[in-house]
Amino acid sequence: MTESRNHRINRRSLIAATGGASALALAGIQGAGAAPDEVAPAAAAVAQAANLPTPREQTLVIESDPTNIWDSFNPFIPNGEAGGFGIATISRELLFYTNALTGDIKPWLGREYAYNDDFTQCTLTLHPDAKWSDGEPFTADDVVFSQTLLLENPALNGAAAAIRDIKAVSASDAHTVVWELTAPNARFHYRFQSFFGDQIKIVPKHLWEGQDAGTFTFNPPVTTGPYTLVEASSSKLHYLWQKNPDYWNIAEFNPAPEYVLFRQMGEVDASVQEFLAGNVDHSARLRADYLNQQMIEAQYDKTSRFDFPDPCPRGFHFNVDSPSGLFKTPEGRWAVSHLIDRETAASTIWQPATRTATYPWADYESWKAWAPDEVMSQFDLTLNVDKANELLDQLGATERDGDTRVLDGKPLRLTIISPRVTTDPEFQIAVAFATTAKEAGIDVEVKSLPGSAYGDAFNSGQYDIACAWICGMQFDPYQLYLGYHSRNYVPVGEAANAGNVVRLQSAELDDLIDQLADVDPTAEASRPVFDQALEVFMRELPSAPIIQTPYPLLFNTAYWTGWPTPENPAEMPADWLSTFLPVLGLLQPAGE
Amino acid sequence: MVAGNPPATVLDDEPAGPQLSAVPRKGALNPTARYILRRLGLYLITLWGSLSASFFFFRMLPGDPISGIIAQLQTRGQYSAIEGSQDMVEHYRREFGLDGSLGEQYVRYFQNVFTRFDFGPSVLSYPTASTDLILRALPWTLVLIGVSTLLGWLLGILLGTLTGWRRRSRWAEWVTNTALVFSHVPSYFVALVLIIFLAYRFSLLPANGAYDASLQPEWSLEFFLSVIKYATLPVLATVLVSLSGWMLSTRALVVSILGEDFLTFANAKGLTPRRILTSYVMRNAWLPQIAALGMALGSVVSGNVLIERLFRYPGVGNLLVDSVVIKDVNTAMAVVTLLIFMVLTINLIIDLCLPLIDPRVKFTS
Repeated sequence: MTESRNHRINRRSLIAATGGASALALAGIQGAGAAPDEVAPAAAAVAQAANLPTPREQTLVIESDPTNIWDSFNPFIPNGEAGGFGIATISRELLFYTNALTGDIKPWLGREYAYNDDFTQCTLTLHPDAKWSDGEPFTADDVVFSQTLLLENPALNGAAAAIRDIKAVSASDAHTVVWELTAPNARFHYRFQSFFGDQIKIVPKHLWEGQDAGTFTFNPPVTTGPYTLVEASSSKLHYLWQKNPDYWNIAEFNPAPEYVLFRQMGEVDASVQEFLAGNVDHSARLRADYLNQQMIEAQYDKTSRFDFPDPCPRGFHFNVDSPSGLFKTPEGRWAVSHLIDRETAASTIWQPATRTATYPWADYESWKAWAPDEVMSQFDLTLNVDKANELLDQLGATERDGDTRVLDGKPLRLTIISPRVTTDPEFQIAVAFATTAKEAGIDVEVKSLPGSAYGDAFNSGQYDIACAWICGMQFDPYQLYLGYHSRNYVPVGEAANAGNVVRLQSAELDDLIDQLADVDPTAEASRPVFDQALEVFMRELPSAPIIQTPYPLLFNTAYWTGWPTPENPAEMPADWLSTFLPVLGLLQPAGE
Repeated sequence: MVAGNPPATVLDDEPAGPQLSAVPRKGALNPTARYILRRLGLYLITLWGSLSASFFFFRMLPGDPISGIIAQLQTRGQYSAIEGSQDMVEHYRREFGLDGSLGEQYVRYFQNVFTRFDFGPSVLSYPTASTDLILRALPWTLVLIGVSTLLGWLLGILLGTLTGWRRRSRWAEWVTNTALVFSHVPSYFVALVLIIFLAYRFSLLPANGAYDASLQPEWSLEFFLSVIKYATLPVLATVLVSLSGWMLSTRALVVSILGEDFLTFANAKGLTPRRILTSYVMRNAWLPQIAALGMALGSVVSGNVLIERLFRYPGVGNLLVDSVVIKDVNTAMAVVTLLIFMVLTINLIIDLCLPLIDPRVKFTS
């Protein structure tokens, strides 16, 4: 054997080594995706321990989005608490729990509220038995203190709305809070009932008094909820909560899990394996990941799925001041709307298949009345390339540069930004639109901007279309329309932190929003104004709804049963909402 | 001197010129001291330049970090004040050191970093300081990536030496070819296969976390053993890939050394193969690998986000990615600064120590 030959890599052994490694890898992958009749390997996976600090059969295990917050529970500062790790979802209770799916509202820490005749005063009665987890009574003083914190510290999160709406707040007795409002406001109670975002946050006065609310970490947290914090560990990447035996409402609400463990999720492959091993009851990593959920369901029979209808339809936001110039008129926005294949997006792109969206909020039974047929029947939200071409011609985009239309001397090229990664349906909807738009002579580039890059581009108007969620509505459409008022208009390049990210300037819609601000949304007499506002909104179409968005939520029934079903969805059972707590009341031990 | 070696490498060689006197001037530094001083000066200049470059890089990224924070809070439903948020914007712009001109920010940044080692509060976990976030994650990264790097290097150069030395044997060919395959497979994929087999199929090793969740971090044997147990799988995944790289490069070095005249001479002198391997081959082949290890160790502090995420390991990699995604300038810059500092410092140390381990390297005047 010569020296030179020995220096070469032997081809046969290289192929053999490659083959061996590939076989090993493929065997592993096949194991991950075994067919239903090959369940044995998955069952063997159960032997892998869950690495829990507490007995599995007493512990509810939830995987949450990654966080770096392990020692702060301050709800008034940005990233001051890891809300998805229990503090906002199972520990800090709400005054009222709203179920938008059914329209029901359940009193909790609050019992009732009332307005004076001209809606300039709102009175809230608290539950007299409520207590903090350290045994101190939960009283009107705590509410007054928490509200005063916001009024006195304009930089706190939520302060701007409080300063805008509240003239004074006081306690008329231990369980009654009275707000004097800066202007008539028939919606002030929304902050008692909100399930997302702007609900009132109440902290114990006896622990916060004298602290700097801008930096106080409030660790360990004291809340009124049924669970108290055992540990938040930056090295274990989990928050462990234990049932409080002295919980004030235990007679009415006594969840079965002794412990709730929120742990930071791993990569999706690891989450799938953990779920199959029975180590996780619910995972944010698998939320809306329909393909992996199907794979799990195919080889693991201890699952329960609930397709949670998200309150925010998916759709396009049109930047009225976009560089393309196409969206400065409603005709341009409608031209694009006619190029959206909503049927395909609903039946094929979004999984599980869903319904098309025509109005800019979820089609909950209790919300349907806000979009009457007599208004919506005026608008055609179907794919209609001919109509789009007609509108584009009317706009003067008749000439072509190759296959691309020319508008105002420039080829018509649009940039769509999406906050989602390229495999997510929001991005895919934009990609599908690009194909249809090409037929009408519009070039489209789709960009995925996860993280703060999307927020930057969206808020500063560096986009033509944003394919994302259309949020805002919780109780009545005024909440949504407020985000389109031109008083918050800023030019492209400046951050639209106060709303109106689409940079709409419609005097007609402004006028109706202003009128709606003064009406009682529950009054039948206000309905014509709402209908008018919807009509103008749809005519202007600053945001085009595309699909309703069911989020498939997969739950593990190996240790806990009774998960939400369409018949009994609890309140709003998504683990990222502060209404998740009532779900725990449904659960029962599976007996394993 | 290593037998039969090429001419000495001369560091810090000065331009040739007329030698005025062979006797050093009174008070003049000897060549070694002068080299060390110049090397230290260069180190400080490089450090300052790198830190300045990273400062301007992060500050000049498009977009406003505060807007990003507000948009992020809106997405999470933690912020909903539709109007009048300017107070909040201005407050946090000051808090995160983003107010004032770029020049003012630059001066303030360097003052804070060099006088108080303060990178400011983190956006990721306000009001926790960025340095606290890093100090929490760094020990775990050092355990995982540091050990993996050292193990991968040690095993890689040992195997590389042996496969180069015994290049004619069948086993050496097999090992080399297997290493060729592994060196081109991402560690993430290797980790995934190991997880499926070793953790879930055969339940041999845990794949979730840094230690047993029922324990508390403490100086005890039980905790120490738990850390080793939980680190085994991620270390194995990283080592399998990294040792392949080290092995192949060492093998190439060994093979090239085997053709050198001094080995023929050593053979002719009748030295034993073991002596030739340890004193002639290994010493020559390993020297460049020591310098390369320095670079690799310097990069350890940036972590390995894929491995950390897959195994739910609390390291710096996660932190770096999270801070970049949400544009937490303070934390991202703190990690990058640490990385720059480690790479430069380890290189400095290696440069200064090289003459001690390689007698061919000399400081000359």
